[in-house]
Amino acid sequence: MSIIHNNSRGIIFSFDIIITFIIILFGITVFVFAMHNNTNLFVKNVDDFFLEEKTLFVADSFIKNFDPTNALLGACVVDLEKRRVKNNELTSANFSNLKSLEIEGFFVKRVSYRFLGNDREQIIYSSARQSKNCLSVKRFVLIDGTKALVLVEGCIDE
Amino acid sequence: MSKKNQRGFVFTLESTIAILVFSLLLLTISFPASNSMTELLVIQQANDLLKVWSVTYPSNNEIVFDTRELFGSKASVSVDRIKILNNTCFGDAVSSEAILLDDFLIEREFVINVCLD
Repeated sequence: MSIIHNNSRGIIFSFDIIITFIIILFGITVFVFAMHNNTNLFVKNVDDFFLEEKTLFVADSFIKNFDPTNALLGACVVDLEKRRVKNNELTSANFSNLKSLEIEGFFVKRVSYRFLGNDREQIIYSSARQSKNCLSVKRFVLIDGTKALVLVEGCIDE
Repeated sequence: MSKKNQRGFVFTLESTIAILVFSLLLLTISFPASNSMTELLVIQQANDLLKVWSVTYPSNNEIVFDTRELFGSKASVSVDRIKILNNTCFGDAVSSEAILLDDFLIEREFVINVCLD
């Protein structure tokens, strides 16, 4: 005669095992939630870094170089006698040659300047494209021999 | 006959493993550090000042004015080791130095300290 034991308490009958199971599930939930947040933060950091990098580099190129095809990449005075570009010395004659610039979703939204001691801001380039993710960088230069602050605003597509 | 201590509290093996696993999971949670180029921008801006001053040979008042326009109250400037603009930093700071020569080859040592906070 076989004796069949019916376990009336079910499969999980140990209180410890229930607590263990709950703790492990809670830990996994916290872990997954934290990883999700970390991933979102990481993606946001990469986007922010990309915007910072491009805006800084374009602003630096604008005030340190001379580019005859697009003054946005270089609007400096060229010393023909010494055959060199004068860093941080810009000429307003080059401002008419500012063209649009786009690199992998990054674009220059606005370039402006104001002379020191003067609150009036002169916009020399403006793009019709809109974006809420923008960064503005301020640099100190000479424009036609007068001290000025140049503002370069770069944005990335959302 | 041995007496069992009914008042004792003992973790079972499963509970101990669960607590260990939970602790390990918490330890693996780390927040990604944000990379910022603020320090590079500040260095570039300080060098802009030095570059322009190498051309214009400003007076002390002009140096103070230019620095305030660019950095506000976050920067201090020394000329020939004499502080002409003083602002205290409570955190990290970036320092830029240059020795500039005027038309008469007279040296002037400029030091700009900018706060990063």
